[in-house]
Amino acid sequence: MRIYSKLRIFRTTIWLCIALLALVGFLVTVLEARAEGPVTVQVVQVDKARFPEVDVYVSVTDADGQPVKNLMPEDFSLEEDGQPVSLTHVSRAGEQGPVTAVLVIDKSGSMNHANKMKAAREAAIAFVQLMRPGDATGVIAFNTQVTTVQPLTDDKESLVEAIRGIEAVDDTAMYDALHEASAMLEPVGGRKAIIVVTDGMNTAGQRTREETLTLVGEQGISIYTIGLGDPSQGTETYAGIDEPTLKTIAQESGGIYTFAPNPEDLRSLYEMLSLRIQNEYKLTYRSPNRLRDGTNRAVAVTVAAPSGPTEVTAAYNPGGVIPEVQPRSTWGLFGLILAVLAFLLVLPGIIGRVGALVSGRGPVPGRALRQGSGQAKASGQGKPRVGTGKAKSAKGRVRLTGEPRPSGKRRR
Amino acid sequence: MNRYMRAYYYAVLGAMGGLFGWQITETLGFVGGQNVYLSDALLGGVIGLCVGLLIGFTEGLLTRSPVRALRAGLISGLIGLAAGAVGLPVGEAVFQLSGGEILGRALGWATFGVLVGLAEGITGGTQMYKGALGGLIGGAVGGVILELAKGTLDDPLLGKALGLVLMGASVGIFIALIVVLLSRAWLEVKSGKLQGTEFILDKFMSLKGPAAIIGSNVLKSDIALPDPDVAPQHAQLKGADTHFTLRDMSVGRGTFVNGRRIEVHRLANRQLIRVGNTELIYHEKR
Repeated sequence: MRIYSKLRIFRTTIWLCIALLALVGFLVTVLEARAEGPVTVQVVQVDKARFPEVDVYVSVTDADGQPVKNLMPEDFSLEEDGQPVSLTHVSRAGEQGPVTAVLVIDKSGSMNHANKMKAAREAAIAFVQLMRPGDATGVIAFNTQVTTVQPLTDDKESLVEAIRGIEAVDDTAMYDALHEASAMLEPVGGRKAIIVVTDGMNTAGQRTREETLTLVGEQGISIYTIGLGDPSQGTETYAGIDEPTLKTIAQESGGIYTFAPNPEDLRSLYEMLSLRIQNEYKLTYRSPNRLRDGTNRAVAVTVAAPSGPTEVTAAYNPGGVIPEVQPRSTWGLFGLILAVLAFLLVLPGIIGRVGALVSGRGPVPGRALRQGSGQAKASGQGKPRVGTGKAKSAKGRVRLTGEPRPSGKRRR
Repeated sequence: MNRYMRAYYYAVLGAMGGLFGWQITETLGFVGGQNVYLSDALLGGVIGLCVGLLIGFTEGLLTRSPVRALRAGLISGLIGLAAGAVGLPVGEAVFQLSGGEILGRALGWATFGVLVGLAEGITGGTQMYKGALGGLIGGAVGGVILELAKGTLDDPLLGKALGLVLMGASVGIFIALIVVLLSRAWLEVKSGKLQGTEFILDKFMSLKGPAAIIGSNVLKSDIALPDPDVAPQHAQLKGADTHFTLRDMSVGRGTFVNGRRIEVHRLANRQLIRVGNTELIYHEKR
């Protein structure tokens, strides 16, 4: 009896343990899933420099904005113009190759308030410290003028030194600075990014908002924009920042816009951006349409994330204002068009001659006069006939003395 | 030959330029390796050369002086080469920045056309801006035609050929038309071999600019008349900003305005000039 009851207690305990384990397992799964949550997928850059080989940089982040690093190559699929293509290579998070970034820093007078300039310098230095071997960074500062503080380099020490030297004074010419930054990145290949921090509106400079939007739309450089608040005016105020523009620039270029209410937030923001940019996936494929025909190509990337597949789209144009076509013999078409053009070239001459013949036969009043001008017109439009040149001139002279403008009304 | 026939010949020869440019570039293929801009520079140069060569020929052919045709053709071809080599890469950038499609194509080709047209303006007997305007319109039209042809015809090759031919034609036709439409002063030949031909005088109109020489020597005169009774350098037209002064340079042969022999004469609109056996009407547009 005692043995039986012991056995029963043992059995119950085991069942309880199993139930508990199952519960724990279930909770872990649920919690894990919640931690992964819905992901945000963004095509941050399409690199067509080696067309028909195309690199598509994809950023996958979780609900907290942290990069999702554990996706496998088979989690990605891609279509160009609706046609599925096989990816020749998928680099995993953190292995997408060197990142070249330009830090664009507002140094207008207002940055002197509330330690903003100091915070911006420190945040930029924090970004520099996170650079991996092979990464390069350049620094541009702007007020009314755009200054290249440091050209692209992988030397952290000179970058830090250059950043420490930035002092705030004067107005804000942000668009000019963005143009300068994109020019700085132009000769570089691979993943390119611009991080711009500003606390004000664009108030100076030559470039317009539209020009800047056009530029960022096509250059394949993603621009991360940071609006910096002024705590002295309350941390919730967006006053003075042109938020719509900063948002649009970020969206159009595959970057993101963030607002930092406090200068102290800048550092963690820069660190977050650095982490994001360094942990993107690079999908490489060969375009199925290998001709540079100047058509816009739609790229659709599907990511099989734990929370379900997510599709994002992007577009690129391989270039070819005069389109490239499949090479083949074109002499036949060339000959045909040439023949048509040659015919058009002699056509007025033929018409003129036929016209002269017809008008020459018919009994027309005032025939002598018209015949003269008709013949001259015919040979003027057709090929010169050396033999008749003098005769015409003579007739012309007769007309000159008789009536100065016989064909004036015919011409005009 | 009136002004519209002149535009017609410019169009046909411009089209031939576009055709030759197309055939050569098609034979060359994509030549820039990986770099689309390098390829554009080469192909644009070839197309600019061909269109320039043929449009340069036109003026000489119309005024029946092969020497002038050859000289203008070569100069205009070389300038076209340079303009095309710069113009197409710039057009490519404009094309890509404006987002491709029909608008981008029109803008990109218009940029190319402006530079080629500018080059033609230098040799076409007019101010450069008129040539550029012609090229702008011509390029835009050619670009739109290319995009439309690409959409309606299944064969992109045919669309490209027609687009380039029509671009050449429209560059030619617009250069000729705009040169005529915007010209302020011109001479119309009323008799002789060149009857109907118009010599645009705009570039001689400035007081500080060069004078135009009327004569029978192709190399020594600006308005060359194939008339044995015209002296090699028969008369001079000197611009004074608002009008022209005609000065007789012939020794003994004489220059006549409205039947009266003149030495120096201030020309008025629609006056009839006679040199040798050739009559010319002077036109002014006000």
